[in-house]
Amino acid sequence: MHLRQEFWRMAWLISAVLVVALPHFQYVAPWVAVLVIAIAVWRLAAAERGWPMPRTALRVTAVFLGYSGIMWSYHRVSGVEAGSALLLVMLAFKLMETRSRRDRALVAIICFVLMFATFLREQTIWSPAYLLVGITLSVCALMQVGRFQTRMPVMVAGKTTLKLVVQALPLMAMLFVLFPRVPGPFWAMPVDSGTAQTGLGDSVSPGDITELGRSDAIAFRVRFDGTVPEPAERYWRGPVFGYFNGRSWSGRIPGPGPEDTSVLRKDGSSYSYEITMEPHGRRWLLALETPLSWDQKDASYGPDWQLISRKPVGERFAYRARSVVNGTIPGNDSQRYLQAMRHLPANVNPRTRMLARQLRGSSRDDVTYLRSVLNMFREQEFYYTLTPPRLDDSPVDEFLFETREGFCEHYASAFATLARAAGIPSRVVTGYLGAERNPVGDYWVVRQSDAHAWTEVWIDGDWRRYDPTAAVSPARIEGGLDFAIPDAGRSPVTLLRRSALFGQLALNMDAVNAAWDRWVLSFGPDTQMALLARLGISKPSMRDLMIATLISCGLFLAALSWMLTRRQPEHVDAVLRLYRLYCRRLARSFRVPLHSEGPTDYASAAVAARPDLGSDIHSITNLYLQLRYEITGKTDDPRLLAELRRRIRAFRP
Amino acid sequence: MNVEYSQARSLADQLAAEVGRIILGKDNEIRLCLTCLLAGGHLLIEDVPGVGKTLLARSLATVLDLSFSRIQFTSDLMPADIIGVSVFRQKESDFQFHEGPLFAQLILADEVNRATPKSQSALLEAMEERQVTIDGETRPLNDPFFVIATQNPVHQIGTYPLPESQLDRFLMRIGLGYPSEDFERAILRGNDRRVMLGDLRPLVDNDGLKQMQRAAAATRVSDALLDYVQALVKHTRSAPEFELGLSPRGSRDLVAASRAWAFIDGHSGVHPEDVQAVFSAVTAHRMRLRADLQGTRQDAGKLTLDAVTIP
Repeated sequence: MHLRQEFWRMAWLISAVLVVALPHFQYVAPWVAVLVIAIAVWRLAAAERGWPMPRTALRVTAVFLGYSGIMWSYHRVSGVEAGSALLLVMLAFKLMETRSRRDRALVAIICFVLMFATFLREQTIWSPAYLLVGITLSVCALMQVGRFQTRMPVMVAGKTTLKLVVQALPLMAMLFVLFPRVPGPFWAMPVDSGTAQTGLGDSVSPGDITELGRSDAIAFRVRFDGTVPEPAERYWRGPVFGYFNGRSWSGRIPGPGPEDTSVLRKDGSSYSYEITMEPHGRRWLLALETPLSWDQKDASYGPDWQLISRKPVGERFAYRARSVVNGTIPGNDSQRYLQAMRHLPANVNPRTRMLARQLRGSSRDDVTYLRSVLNMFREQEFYYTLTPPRLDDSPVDEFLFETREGFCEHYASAFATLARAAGIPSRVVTGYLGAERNPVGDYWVVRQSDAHAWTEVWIDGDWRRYDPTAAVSPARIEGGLDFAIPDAGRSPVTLLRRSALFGQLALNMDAVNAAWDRWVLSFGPDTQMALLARLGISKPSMRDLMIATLISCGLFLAALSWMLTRRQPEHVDAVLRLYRLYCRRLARSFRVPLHSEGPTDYASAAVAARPDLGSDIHSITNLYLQLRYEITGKTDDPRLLAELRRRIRAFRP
Repeated sequence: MNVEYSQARSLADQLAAEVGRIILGKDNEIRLCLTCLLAGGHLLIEDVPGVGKTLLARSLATVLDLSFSRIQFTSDLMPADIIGVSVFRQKESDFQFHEGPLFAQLILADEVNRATPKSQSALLEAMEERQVTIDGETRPLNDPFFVIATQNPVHQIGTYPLPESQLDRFLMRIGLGYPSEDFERAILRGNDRRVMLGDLRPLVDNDGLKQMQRAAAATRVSDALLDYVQALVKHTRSAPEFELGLSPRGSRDLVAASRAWAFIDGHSGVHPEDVQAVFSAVTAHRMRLRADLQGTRQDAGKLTLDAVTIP
């Protein structure tokens, strides 16, 4: 029987441990996860079978090995990675010596610390939701370990926990609003350099964008103020690549951008919008071509008039901007740069050059020439596909004359090469084309699969946008990738997202997540000040905020306890009140009665401890018993009551 | 012998003392027996053989001047062996009823759980109804009518444990337990208990006993006390430790037994301590702890008493 109790207590505790440890498993070294699970399973079996706990020597060795393992895997024990791994390992080892109530309570409390550690990495709305489960389990486990003998039924434990959690919610809201905010996330941790992040790269070779095209991850979300650009205008301009080695394109080293903004052409449709960028670890900020103004001090024009941040985008980042879309970028570049934009590496792609000479010869001017190239793409057998064949040494040649199947970067690269071969400066631009509306949250989502590459060609002193993909697959421009390309090569997630039911579900989920970002995660010092100003508190100092937090939490707790204690108004009659006074007085030299101790038993115990008070105690107890238990109904005897009052008032031990 | 109310209480003390001369070191159990009897209920003694169950029953019968009969329950005991049979008389050519052992005032039903359920229920029905119906004729049983049933601990071989519905008919269940070392020494030194039994004299007659019963039932019960009783009952019905709580019959019996105990203790009203004194004996056999708590040596009664605050 005792074993069963032990087993159930451990089962609660271990399920709490596993639930809170689970989110960490994807980040820590695999051996840590395996160790935690193995020890948890072993501990549960030990509780069921009554196996003894390991000896001290073994446990000390285990702790030493665990510590060494962390050092070996992480070369340190501090920081988010190593710290949480160490916490997990030590929690697992703690299970090996969990015998007493105190040990179990400690394990449950470490679970809370582990839950906090989860927020250092995960800040989507699902992590608090998941951790609410963890909190519930841990509180349940804490309640179970607090019981000496009996196990609480699940329903009772669950109800009590729910009550506790609900009571804690207002406190949580108060702390959220009032607790002083520091700029940036409180736990601003450096992005781990090893972590791969999807997004546009520093160079583009055939196949790069294709790779992105298969990814369903979100690049950024947009909210338009008022007019939404037409599908063919949704060019989100990113890194620009002008240097070509015959295979891959790379860009300028991002330096200070152009200063003279008067050359910007402001005609065409203009749009203002707010972008919430997912972290991608690089410096560019996407904006509709061409950005005119924005609200971030850290952002500026890059060398090619694209928007660039001062530091890499390591966390979700929101900014507002206004852009015009007219397909024209000012061309105030140096002659040296323009020369480089005409350069083609020698001995690579010879057939392409031959084709260019041939076509240019039969064209009247540059624009007609470019048009004939586009016509070639349009009229000949070129295919737009997510699964292009591999290209080898002369990729443009192979693409143009053999495979003729490619994704946008193949066409952009071939088009730019053809332009250069005819002596026209040209470059490849990457970014995103398109946006998908989420009707639930009324915003637009741009995914990695919307990644796109196009070209800019120097015509009459300006860079003009030419998108060869539009010639091959007009549907890509008008309807997006989903429309242009059949299902082959798309990830199962994408296909699932495109099914009606899951599509709706995914839209809902993303809307919830976006709202979470907007209202909760982005609640920083500025928004806090703005909110407090609206509440009539302007520019409070950090100290004021601290005091306000403490006072309001204190008030809340006081109100809560007042409500809870006065909920059952107890009928206390005069006799009982007098008796309680007597108990309090007796407690000064003895103790208060136990809650299940009757008056006679209490009196006997008191007399045994204080024989000198014997006669007083006996007479008071007798009077009390007579008044409370021996006179029935409403015939309270005033004489006896007066007597009791007199004696108790005189009773001062 | 017409006893006054005040005399009745000292008489109860005398009764207890007299029986206590035979059964050494079991004052509390003897008091509980008397309480049970004064409350007009039946008693179940659950213990191993040889701890003095029969002796206790016989002593009580003697000092209370009750006619005594003993039924040894065995697996082949038939209801007729308990109640009696109608025998055809050839001479008068009619049936005559031969009363069974049930027609006594104090019946010791020994090892009641060894008989088949059929025979058990014959006894238990008679206990509840205080009358038996044979061949369409209803025959009242004696008054006072008091059954002391004994049973071996249920896990012994060849027993039919009494179902909960039947257990509920016993006002109290007590165990006697082994005597302490000192008392066992005194038992070994002293005379044969069965010889001493012969020396016992009745202290009260049937009318006196009935009067005591009426006086016990008139012990006052205040609202404050009923609050306590109801808090106890509520706990047994709502606390997670219990699978089966106390029935209304159980709470009624608890008050009746508390009254009798308070009467023996000389209180004119029932005190919380009186309830506590009888609580385990009255309630433990009527409730069921949750399966995983059974056998943890947790006394359901004590668990409840410790958990409930006296209002």
